[in-house]
Amino acid sequence: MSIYDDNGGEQDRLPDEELVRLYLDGDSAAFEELVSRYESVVMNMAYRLLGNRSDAADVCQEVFVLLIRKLGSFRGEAKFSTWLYRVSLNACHDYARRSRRHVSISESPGDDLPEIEQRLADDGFDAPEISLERAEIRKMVRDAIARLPYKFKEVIYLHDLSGYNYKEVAEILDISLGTVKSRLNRARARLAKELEGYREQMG
Amino acid sequence: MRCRNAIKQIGPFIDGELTAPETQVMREHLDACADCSRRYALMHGMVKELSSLPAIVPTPEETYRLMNRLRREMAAPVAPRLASRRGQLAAAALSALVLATVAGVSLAVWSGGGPAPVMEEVTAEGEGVAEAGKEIGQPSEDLAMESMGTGLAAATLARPALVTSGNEYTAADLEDFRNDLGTRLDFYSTYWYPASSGASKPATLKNMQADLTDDLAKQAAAAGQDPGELELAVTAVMEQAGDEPVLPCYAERAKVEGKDAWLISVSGPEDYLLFPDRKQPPAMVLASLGGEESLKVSESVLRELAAWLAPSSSRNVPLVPASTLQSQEAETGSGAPTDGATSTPEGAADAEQGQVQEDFQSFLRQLAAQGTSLDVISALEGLDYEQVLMLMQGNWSSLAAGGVNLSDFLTPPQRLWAVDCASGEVLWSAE
Repeated sequence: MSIYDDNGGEQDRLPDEELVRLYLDGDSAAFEELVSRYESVVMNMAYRLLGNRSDAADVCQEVFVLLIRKLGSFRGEAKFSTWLYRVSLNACHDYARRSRRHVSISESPGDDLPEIEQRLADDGFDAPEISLERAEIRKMVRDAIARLPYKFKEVIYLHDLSGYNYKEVAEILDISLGTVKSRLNRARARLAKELEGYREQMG
Repeated sequence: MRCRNAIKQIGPFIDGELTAPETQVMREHLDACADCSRRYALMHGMVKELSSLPAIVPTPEETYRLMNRLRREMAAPVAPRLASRRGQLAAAALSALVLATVAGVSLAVWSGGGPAPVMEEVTAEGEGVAEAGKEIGQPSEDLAMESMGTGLAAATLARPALVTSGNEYTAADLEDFRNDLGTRLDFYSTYWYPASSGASKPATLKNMQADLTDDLAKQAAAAGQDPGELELAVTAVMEQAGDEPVLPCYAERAKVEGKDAWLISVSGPEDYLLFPDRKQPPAMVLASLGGEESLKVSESVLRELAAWLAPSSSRNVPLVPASTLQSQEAETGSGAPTDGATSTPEGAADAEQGQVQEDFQSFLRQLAAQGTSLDVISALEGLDYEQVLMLMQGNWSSLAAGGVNLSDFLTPPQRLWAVDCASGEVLWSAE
């Protein structure tokens, strides 16, 4: 069975869990398909949590390498995507901890990249019509997220940026609903305070 | 409802996570309380900002690096359960590495595409080699940390390898020493590719050189060698390399012509030519500098081959496997070694085809007799006319794009030096 059914070129999308099974049966193309489905997800998560792009790319590699090694232990009890989120969050967490001594390379996401890369590759793909003010607010928000404690970043990323509801966030992070609620509240309160300060400063 | 409670509920209220009665109570409180209403507006604005942050999109380079890394990981041989962790790690990191044991003395021979490393045999040999086996492909946290500062990929970090073989080499042995292609492949993906794709800073080369030298010195100390001597040797090699960007990737303590020496090998940006993935990153085109010198076949051979393959109106002879013929059909050109009539009767055409085929085979035999390796000859047989021209022109990217395995035709500079341990004098170099 191929990862796509040959149906006049139409892609018949197989569920992730089926791709996992195919990969475990020796079909490496199935794994590549999983990578193409989730590369962007993992990159974005790592970027939001670690705050810089080259770290995000590193972690993204770590995550998928880990996946190759650990897929055998995926029991299918949780959805593949939930499982992947957990693995990715752990990898980001480890990475952040390992590199704590070395942070401060860049306080602001994307600052570690050469200018041209920043323009090409970063959030900076804000369309030209977006006003300077909006672009600045976005930058301020990104920077403020980067300064949040890691636990807060996780919930902000999962809930506000990725659209998971409280229950899903609780499941992914393996914490209680109440904890999700309070972390999210505190994280947002901090961000809101920064935004308010910024607006006051700008008059 | 008190403000203290309301503040806690603002988030869930915005997120629609409150029950209907809770929502109602919250609404009433917000209508009545200016402070909480302001808090709500602020947080609501923040949440909107967050949800409007655009996602980042992986660049082609990032995807390329990721897929390459994963393909190598998937291709790595699965180590038997009983194999040591070090064996598994080395196998994963260096699938192309072969460690051969010759007459009871272990000699590291590196070759592309070889079988899985025979780590267990080697680990029994001696401490130095065993140590190297452990180090290869197993990034220490220290180095991983240091390298993060330079924007290197910690996940794919390849470390330089150090071996204390004590082998005695003559200069002639060193000529044959197929150095560290496996290591250099890893170095390519860890260092050169990120550097070329702009993912690291300009100062990185110096940092990388310093990090790798330090790493080797530490390994030397751990193997009971004088780290100072090792550093001296690496420095001497770097000086020899001059302006060329090179990274130390392999050190072996041995004897060369009777003298205690460090064999030092370095990786250069040309190592991309060995990269198994044929999709060549555009930024690496620059690195094809020096490609001509490393061609495994002479230009005159290529010219002759081109002449054989040049499309001729009179000849549609399958000199090469059928799969490579398609692009010839549309071609018109000159330079064929044989001229023929445009309308040959069938029988005569067959005879001519047979003759041409025979001549071509004899040309190939001649190449073999001249010492061209059979592998190269068989790779040449797989080329079509256009590809031969590309090879002559050094048009590596088009060749790679057409699915040609560049490492069939190109070999990187050997980049191996032997440095006297005591004096730091270069005893031998491959260049």
